[in-house]
Amino acid sequence: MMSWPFRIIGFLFWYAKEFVSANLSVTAEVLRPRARSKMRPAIVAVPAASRSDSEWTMISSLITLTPGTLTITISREHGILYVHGMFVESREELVAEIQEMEDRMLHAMRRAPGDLTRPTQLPVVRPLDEAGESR
Amino acid sequence: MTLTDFADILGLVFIFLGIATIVISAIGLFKLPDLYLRASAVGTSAGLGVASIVFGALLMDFSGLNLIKAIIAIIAQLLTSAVGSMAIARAGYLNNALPAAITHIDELAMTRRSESRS
Repeated sequence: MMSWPFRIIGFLFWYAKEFVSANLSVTAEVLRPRARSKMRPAIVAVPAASRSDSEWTMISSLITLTPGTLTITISREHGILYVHGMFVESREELVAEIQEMEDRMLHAMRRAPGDLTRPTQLPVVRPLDEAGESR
Repeated sequence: MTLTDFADILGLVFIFLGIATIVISAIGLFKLPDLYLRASAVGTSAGLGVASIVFGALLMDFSGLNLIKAIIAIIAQLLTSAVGSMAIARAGYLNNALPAAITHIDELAMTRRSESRS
């Protein structure tokens, strides 16, 4: 196990690599003729292991910063990130990709990795207006 | 060829790469079908495009002070573009901007308000 400052640098290099390759794939998709499009968009609920405010902010910003994936909203009470992906073949694929990024980020942000458990069941949600809320 | 000439050429290459990224993402704005995909496409220009132009300008006029300025500019640009995209996407979803028909999974649909209320 590397010491903490080196883990941060390692994560930055890993993220930079992901960032460039995601940019290339989105650019290629825009330039590709519509008939050969590989686009498979989806909005997926990803269980997350983040706990503190700064971790939630960082993971959702990092996801949005990677072109092709976009955090639409988070649910802190259920521990869920709602992520829109551009090239999603299956639900599990996007979940694994996001959770790998989150694992690496948490290892870089926390001095000791600590609790990395994620909620296993998706929450039962209902439309906001049933409760008369306005958001 | 001196080192400054080389840095100038490399700087120009990065600036033109940045311009190309921004032009391509502008094409994406017209080509892609819905708000969320467009927001993803704009992410390439706001992230890599601007960062590459700033880096190119830094190479053409390198100094310690400019290096610090460039790092701050790139970090601030990346942060604000990420937060802005999320705000736009969330506002769009709350206002019933439907994802395009090719969106094959939508697990946020359960939280969507009914059309009659909008």
